[in-house]
Amino acid sequence: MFAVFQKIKADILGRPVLSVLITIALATSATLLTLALATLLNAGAPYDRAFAELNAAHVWLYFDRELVRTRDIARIESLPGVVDTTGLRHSMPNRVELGGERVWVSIQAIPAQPPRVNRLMIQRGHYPRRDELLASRDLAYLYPLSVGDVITVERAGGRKVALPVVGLAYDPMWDIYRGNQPPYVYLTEETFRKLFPDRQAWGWSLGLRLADPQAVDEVVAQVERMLRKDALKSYTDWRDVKQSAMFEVQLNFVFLGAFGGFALLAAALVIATSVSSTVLSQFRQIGILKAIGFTRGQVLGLYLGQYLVLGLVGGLVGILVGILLSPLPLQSAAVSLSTTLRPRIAPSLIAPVLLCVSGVVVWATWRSARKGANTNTIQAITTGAEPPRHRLPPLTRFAYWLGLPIPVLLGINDLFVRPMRSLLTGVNLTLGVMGIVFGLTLNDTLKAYVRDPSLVGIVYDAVVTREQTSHGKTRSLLNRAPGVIAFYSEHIVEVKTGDGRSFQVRAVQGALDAFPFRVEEGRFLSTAGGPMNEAIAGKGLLDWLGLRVGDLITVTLEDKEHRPLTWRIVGQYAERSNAGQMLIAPLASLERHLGHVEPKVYYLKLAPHADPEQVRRYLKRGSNDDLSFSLVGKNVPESILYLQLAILALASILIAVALINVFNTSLLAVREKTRVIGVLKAVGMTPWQVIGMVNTTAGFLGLVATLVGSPLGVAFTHMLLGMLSRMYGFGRVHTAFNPFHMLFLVPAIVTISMIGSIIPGWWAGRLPIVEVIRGE
Amino acid sequence: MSTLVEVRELRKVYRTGEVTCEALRGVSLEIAAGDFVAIMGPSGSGKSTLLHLIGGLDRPTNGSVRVGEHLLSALDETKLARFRRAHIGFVFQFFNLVDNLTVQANVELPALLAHVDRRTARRRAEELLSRLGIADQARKHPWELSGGQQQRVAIARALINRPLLLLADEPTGNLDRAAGQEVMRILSECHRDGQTILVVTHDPLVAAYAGYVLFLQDGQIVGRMPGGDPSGIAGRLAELG
Ligand SMILES: Nc1ncnc2c1ncn2[C@@H]1O[C@H](COP(=O)(O)OP(=O)(O)OP(=O)(O)O)[C@@H](O)[C@H]1O
Ligand SMILES: [Mg+2]
Repeated sequence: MFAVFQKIKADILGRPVLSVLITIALATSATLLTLALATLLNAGAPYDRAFAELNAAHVWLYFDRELVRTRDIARIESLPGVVDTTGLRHSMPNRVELGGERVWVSIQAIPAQPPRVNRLMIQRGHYPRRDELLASRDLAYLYPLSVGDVITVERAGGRKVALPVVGLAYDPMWDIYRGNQPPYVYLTEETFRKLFPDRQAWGWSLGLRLADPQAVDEVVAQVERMLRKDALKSYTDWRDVKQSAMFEVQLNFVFLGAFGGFALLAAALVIATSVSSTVLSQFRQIGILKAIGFTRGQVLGLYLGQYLVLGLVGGLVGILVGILLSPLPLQSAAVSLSTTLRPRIAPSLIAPVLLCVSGVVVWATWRSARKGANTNTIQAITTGAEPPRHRLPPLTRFAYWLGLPIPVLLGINDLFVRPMRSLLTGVNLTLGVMGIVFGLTLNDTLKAYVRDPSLVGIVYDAVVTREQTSHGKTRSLLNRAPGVIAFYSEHIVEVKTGDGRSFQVRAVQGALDAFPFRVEEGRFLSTAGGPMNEAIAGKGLLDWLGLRVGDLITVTLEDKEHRPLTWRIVGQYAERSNAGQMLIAPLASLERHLGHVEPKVYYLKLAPHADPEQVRRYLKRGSNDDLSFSLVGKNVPESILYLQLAILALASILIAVALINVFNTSLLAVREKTRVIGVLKAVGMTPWQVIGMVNTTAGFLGLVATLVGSPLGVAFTHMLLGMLSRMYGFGRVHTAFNPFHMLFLVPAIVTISMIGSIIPGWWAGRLPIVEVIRGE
Repeated sequence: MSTLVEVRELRKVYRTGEVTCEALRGVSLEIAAGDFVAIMGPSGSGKSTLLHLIGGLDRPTNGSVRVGEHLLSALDETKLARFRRAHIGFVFQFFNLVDNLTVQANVELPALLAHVDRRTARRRAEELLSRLGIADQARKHPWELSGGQQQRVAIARALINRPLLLLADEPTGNLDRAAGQEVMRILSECHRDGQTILVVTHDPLVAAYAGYVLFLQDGQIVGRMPGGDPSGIAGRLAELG
């Protein structure tokens, strides 16, 4: 046993550069895996921490004002299982004006002093005093807003009150991903009452802290039983808010995990190439070892041991680095929740990573190590290891026929001397290329979507909403407005299917033809006086209801359950909201049931060079400042930019590991063919030609890897985005990849790959001929 | 006849760690164009070292080598490589063919490295192969050939660029007697056509093919005698021990 250890030590120290490089590759993948696991295990930690610090409510109930009394509230507060409450809270849905935009918000009344339950986290500025306003940071996220700005609150009757924004706050029970909840602004109870004296208009809500945080559903059921039917309009479950808060972090986990896996695979490839050649080059030595009494098992242990030692060292170092870096992927969440975070590192984190790394090391080493262990002693001693003899492969003959210079020819030929090794290195490079292409495709796809928002279902340039102005007046204003090419109006209707599932219908009317609705399947509504009972549906709705294009859908409207309404679904379009669970139908088809409807929202298509400010001014003046006009934003969200950066960084790691592999492969190849190189030099190959020959092998691998990896990368991205998009009911994604990228990608990867072989090439170029030839 | 090779006071010291070994201790000699010279001497006397220095495979510790108008010490690595491929042909004891290339490709290799155009290289290779009687082996790979055939391929490869000087280190050392004789017959034929040849050998029968024989001992030239008489050469060699 001691002999085996001695030999392992000698072998590792005998190849210091290679051993270090392999350890680095393994450490890198261990780091990424540790990061991924730490991220997964701690994804909810920033929220949990903020939740605890703020003593947040576990459930927030929203009531129908007309169906509840204060007595009911008191009864809810004294339910078993409820340990504390926020007390009845008042709110008011209202329009405010900020920076020229008019926005719907929910104005919340809060106690004069920070409350005991569900405190707000003040991230900038301070808690509001009289006549001051605190904005939720989500409002600041949607509209440029900072402390010191002024928000104008429009009171009933049209009177306006300007209030200074004194702070930005995070509310642990406001769910970003709940589309129908407008952003909050907060006033003290006193200011609120002054601005909105009409108590009948107030919305009522109540936050509860529960003895058992998981008992939200039971408590809600109790409340529903206690109150009159439909008195509880909706509620927010803290677990849903946490899910939303974790979403971005989970995305980080997916990417880190994927790249960690890739990196481990790449490291396995490095090991596989290196162990196979070590075994080959030590063929004779193995024979001698066996001759002096090493058993099969000992030889096997010798090679497994060598790489397992590297795996353990690399794994532990990688885990350590991963632990040090682990706050990074959680940072976005932690920062946005104003907590600091040091993720908990449990043995449950270290063990799987170490096991994974060691397992892969054994897997990569096994085949060659066994081959070494099984060598025939006599044969091994007498033949040693020479590259296998083979005839020129067709590719080399083709290259010869093309008249390529002889070093290039020999370089290409070397690819086939050890085809398995070339393949492994090629796969490794291909992985790197796929990573880069993944980043590029994501980038191009996003750009395409930003350039053409109709791809994500935003088919219009601007939205106008009306309040007091009549529908007819608004339409005539829009008809005359400068730069408005076309518009349609929309009225949202809530409907229910026969089995009680409810969703929203966009009832539309107007010049729909002018808008680039993206119909993924089937066709658009026939607009020119066609049948009234046609509709198009989002992918999410079709999936949810198990319908297909061409099917009929029958629904009922609220309070009109006896008069069902049927549409034929003629197409599927890209729906941007509600996970695609929406339907577009002509307003006329609903008016038979609803009576006359006057929409309040208008979607506009502007002339290419229209001045939006001019349109805004025109509408403002024409409507006595009643119409609000907002332009569709065309910015890439910041979190996506951050994600791209992360992906490119990870792709570079893959490329770096591939570089190690190229170095490794070239070094081994050069070592194996020192004699041939010596002969070639003797017959007149110059040092530069030798370097060229070695570089050609690597460069050619890079070329093939790019040509193979690019389409694979695009396909992979397409698959991944498609999967995400199906998950969100959005419909087909259109991935874009600019083929011009290849113009830089091919030379870049070829160069990178050649860089990996520069040192071995240089070494080969300087090989002393005489010693090589004498060495036989 | 004009002098082709001029060796002056050549010294070569090998250093391996603490140990130094003086392989050549001041060798001077001249070889005229068209000469066929054999070098003999006991094992370790420096024969291969001398051959390598003359062929520009290695650099001397002291002294100079001139081949034609090329003073080898003045050439850098790249120029030395170009010099070798243009003016020197090597034949080794162990053939040293490139296994993965066909016989034809092996022979063409130095020509292609020297940027001779493909058609010319091919024609020259075919000519040489048929002259050496192995034209029918052109498409085979080296490992499919007998030792003698492989050595003939090596000779063809050495001759393809029409070198000033053909250097052979124990060309028959790895062959049976008949194959060795055949190789020597070919070399003398080349000599008859005007090729300057320098051959290192242990075998008096081989040395006898040469015009004259130089004897090397302990890194110095210790004698010279005409070729032709194998038993005389053997006797002289035996005196050196
Ligand atoms: N690279 C080297 N490093 C150290 N010593 C060397 C080296 N090459 C040759 N020598 C030594 O130089 C001396 C001459 O070697 P050389 O190979 O020229 O002898 P040789 O006459 O060709 O012998 P042989 O007939 O056995 O081939 C020998 O003592 C040898 O050990
Ligand atoms: Mg020798």
